[in-house]
Formats: sequence, structure tokens, C-alpha cells
Amino acid sequence: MNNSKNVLLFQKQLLAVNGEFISLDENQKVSSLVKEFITSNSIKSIVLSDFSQHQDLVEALEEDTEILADFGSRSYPLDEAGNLCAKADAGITDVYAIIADTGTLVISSRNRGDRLCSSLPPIHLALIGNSKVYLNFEEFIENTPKEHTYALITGPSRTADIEKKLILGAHGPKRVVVFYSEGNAGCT
Amino acid sequence: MSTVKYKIKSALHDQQLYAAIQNASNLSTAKRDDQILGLDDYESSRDAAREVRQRSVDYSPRLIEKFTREFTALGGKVYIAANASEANRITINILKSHGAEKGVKSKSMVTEEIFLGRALESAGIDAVETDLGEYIVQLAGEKPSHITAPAMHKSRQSIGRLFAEKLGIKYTDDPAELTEVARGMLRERFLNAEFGISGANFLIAETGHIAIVENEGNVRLGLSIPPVYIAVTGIEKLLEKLADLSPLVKMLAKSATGQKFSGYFHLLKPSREGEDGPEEMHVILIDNGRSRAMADPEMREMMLCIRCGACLNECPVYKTIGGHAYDSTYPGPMGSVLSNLLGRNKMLHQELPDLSTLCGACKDVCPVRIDLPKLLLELRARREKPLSHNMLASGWKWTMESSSRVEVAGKFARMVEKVVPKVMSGGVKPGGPGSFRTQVEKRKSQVESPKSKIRTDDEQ
Repeated sequence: MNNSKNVLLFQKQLLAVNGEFISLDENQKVSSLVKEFITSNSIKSIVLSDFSQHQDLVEALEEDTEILADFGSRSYPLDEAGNLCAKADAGITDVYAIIADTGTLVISSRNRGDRLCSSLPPIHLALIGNSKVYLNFEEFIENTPKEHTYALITGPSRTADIEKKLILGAHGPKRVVVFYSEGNAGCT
Repeated sequence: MSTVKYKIKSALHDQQLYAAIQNASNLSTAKRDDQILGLDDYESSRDAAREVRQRSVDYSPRLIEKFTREFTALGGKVYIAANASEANRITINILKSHGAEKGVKSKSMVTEEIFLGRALESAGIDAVETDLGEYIVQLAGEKPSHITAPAMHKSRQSIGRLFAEKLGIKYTDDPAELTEVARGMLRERFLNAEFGISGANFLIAETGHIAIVENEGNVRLGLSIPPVYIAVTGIEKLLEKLADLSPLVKMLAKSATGQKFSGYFHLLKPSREGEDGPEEMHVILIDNGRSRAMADPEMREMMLCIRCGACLNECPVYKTIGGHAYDSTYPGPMGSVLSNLLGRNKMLHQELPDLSTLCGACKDVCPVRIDLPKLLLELRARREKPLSHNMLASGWKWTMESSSRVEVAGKFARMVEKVVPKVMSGGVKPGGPGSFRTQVEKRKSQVESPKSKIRTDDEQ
């Protein structure tokens, strides 16, 4: 499987469904790019899914924004988790896999953090880097553990229920921004 | 005049309705065509999708058993409801056992079919529709007019007026602003929901997964926040294995909304130890005539349907009269067949098979190649059978071939109509236009020679 070719295809398809793609070169750190994005988009508060393996990212983000919930540091009761995520300007999650030919993010549904950080805030920042890369749905479904649960997310949430006019941000995020770092651990 | 005829008549006089339906269906077919024309393997993809659905229907009982085993092993619960009232009772019992009173619901045609919304309401349970189109029709006190675009019959102005009246907001007809209003109103409902209800596109027997396709993110919120989650779907939705999803997923979004892939695709099942998710997951499988349809060699094919709605968008009749005129949960070509297979009795919507020109557009766009014109014709033929249609039809032909027979038949018809009202298709008044007697009388004056021949409706 040619990963870089698939990532290029993913980027093209993601843009076609109104997603955004930010690519890093070797010398850049994901954390500094995410910080830059947060500042330039006036994001005041964020919620994080489980980034306990990447404490440096959490620490870097803490400097500029208020972290309303950090699902890597502790667990939250369901109603509290929902309320915090609904208040945040942006949610940041890891990505289990990407599907190139549809521009799709595969997010695990096993953790509350992954579920809520990718669905309640108006902006979803998705970090890919160590994510698996599949060409199409077929390849994903054939290679994926059968016991898992997933949400496949393709662009911002959308509706066309009023006169077929496309509106982004129906109930989920209005923007989906993907940060890609090749060969990087994604979050360092 | 029958309800359907009345509704067609008023639809034909509604300019706003006509404009809305034409606009929406033309945009839908154009978007679909864009996706389909980009596929170099469209025909073989249809074959693959049909093969999966065929297998799904052929092995349905076995697949239900396997799915139930997998799903319950993870702590979920599976119910099989024979009919609508049973399904509604099961749902209400689950919710009552939790004392749940307020929750969220995602779009599901099966729940429309069984009038779940109405049943919940009379049980004192408040389930708000969260799909934007469904939210609109719920506010308006209507039923969806399309299986994938519920509010397709409405203009932005009428939605603006509806929101201003029911939600007390300042009038706007801007779709973005109206969407934002609904988002805001429904956010509160999601965060405080005690239960979530949705449909399901497919259930995977091999793994116990529920597969759901959506675009708005309301299904995702409905299955992420409330502690109790219920999926309601038909018994024909079981797939043998996870890999069976591939050919269906490939066709579904393209045919339904002209998207390459839907915005969200969920694969979920009850959470295991150490995982998050709803505390309780329930799947309610509804028969409501489906097993009878599966056992019917000619009608079985209808059970392959994946509810994409492409046949509605293409149908010249649907595009003229809209969905409400069908007076059934399922409108359009697929609805004209399906509506007559579901429910306690067959053929509850006898007039619907006539709402087709048999042009074949529905068959051409069906991603699983359902031969809808054939099924519509079969239903037209069957309609008369309970009243000895065959005897009537051949008798009619035989009678009309001879003037002396026409004479006798006239007397006979007057007698029959006193005894058996509505002997012809529903709603025809004895002696009124179109009645057997009137047609015989008319024919009497037309018969010129004993050899002249009149074709019956079925031959035309």
C-alpha cells in the first residue's frame, strides 16, 4: 500500500466534502501548528480526548487556551462531559484510521472523549499521523478488528433538508480540520 | 372520492407544492447522476449489492438468530415485534421501566410506519425528532413526504413561517439561519435526553453490529449522550457479515443523496467492560407483514429495498403529486408496492399501484435492481383476485364479445351491484361513472357486431 499517495487522495476528497487539511513538514511540531490554529481562529476553550500518551501536547495547549475537559487525565460523568464539550469552542481527537477515496476519518466510539470531542464542539481538530491508512471502505472493513465500534466521519456535519440547500453544521461540527504529520507519532 | 384521489386532486392545484417537489427532485437526480456516471462499474456494483440483499432475505431467520446471539452476549437486548402495536408497546415498556420521559429521536421510516411518535405521545413520553426535515414536519404536525427528505414538500418561506409561529423566533427564510435555530433548540434536548431512538440501515449477524448512515450528526449525539438507546428496524435488514456492507455502502449514499459517502457512518454495538457508550442498548425488529412478503415468491423482491429513495426522485408521478398524495408512510414507486405488503392485512393501499406510468425509470435507478413495474402490475392484477378478479376479467372479455351477452350482463350487473357494493376498484358507486353497470350500458350502445372485441384494462 502506497501511503503517501493515499494521503494525497484523502486530502483531495476531504477538501471536496468541505473539510480542511493542514500538513506539517519534518521540522514542525503538531503542537505548535495546533496552537497557531487555535490563536488565529480565536479559540478560547477546548476539550481533549485521551492524549495521556502525549502530555507535551496537553501542556503546550494549556498555555494559550482553557482546557474544559481532558479525557486523558480523568473520567467525567456523562452529563458533565456533555455540558463541558457543548461549551468548548473546539474539540481535539486522535484518529484511528483514514479512508482515502472518500476523505473519511475513522474515530473510535469506545471512549466518551472520542465520541463527544468530535461531535459537540463547533470545530473538530483531528490529528492523524500514526493513523492507519486505507484506500477505501472495503479495505477498511476487511482489515479492522470485528469487536470494535466506530464512527466514520466524512467532512463537517451537514443537512440539505431545506430546499436541498447544503448547510454545514447541522448538529455536529461546522468545521473539521485535519492535521497531518507524516511518519510522526502524530502528537509530538 | 377516495382519500388518495382527493389528495391527488388538491396536490395538482398546489403550485407551491409542485415547485418545491420539482426543484428538490431535479436537484437530487442531477446529484445522483453525477456520482453514478463517475462509476465505471455501476452495473456490476448493482449486481453485487443485489446479491448481498438477496442472501440477506434468503437467510433472514437464521441471521436474526445469529445477530440476537451476538448482540445479547454483549449485554444488549433484541426483541421481535409481530406488528406495529407490539413494537410500540415494547418501546414504551423499555422507556417506562426507566421512568424516561424526555428523549431524542432520529429519522426512521420504520417508526413512521408504526406511528411510534403518536404512541409515545399518548404514553406521556416526549420524543423530539432531531433530523432537521423530521423536526420541521413534526412541528407542522405532518408526516414526511419523502423517505430521505421528509420536508421536501415545503418551501423555505413556509418553514420560516412555521418556525416563527411555533418557536417564537423572528421570521427568516434563510436556510442557514433556520438550521442554526433548530441546532440551538435541539442542543438542549440532546444534553438532557433520557433516551435516544433511531432506525438502523443494517444489522450484522456475524458481529452483532448496528450500521447507521446519516449526515447531520444527530444520530451520533443520540447514541453518545442518553443512557438508553433503542434502534427500531425491519426484520429484513440483517446482513450475513461485515464485508456485506461494502457493496451496499458503495451504492447507498450515491443513490440517496448523490454523495460519494454519507457524512456519518456508525458501526456500533453494546459496550464492553471499560468502554463507554449507552448503558443499555435495545434492538426492536419489526415484522408487520415482512415475513409474509418474504414468503410470497412474487413480492419477495421488494424486501431487497435499501430505502435510498432514488425511485421517488425519478418517478414522473411522484414528481407531479408529491409524497402526501399517496396517503401512506411510503410513497413513490417503492411505496406503492411496499404499502400493500405491510400491516395486518394485505392490500390496504389498493389504489397506489395505479399511480405509475410504468415508464420504468424506477427500475433503472434502483441500486438493487428491484423490478418495480413488474411488482406494480402484479399488484394491479391481484387487487381483483379476492373478488374473483380472474373470473370477472375473463367474463368481461367474454361478455363484451357478443351483444346478446352484453344484454344479459346488464341485468346481471344491476343485481350484483345491489349485493356487492364496490365490486370494481374501491370507491366506485353503483351505477356511477366507471362502475361495471355503466360500462356495460355504454358498451351496449357501442357493440356493432358480435365479433368486435374490447380489450380489458389488463391487456392495455
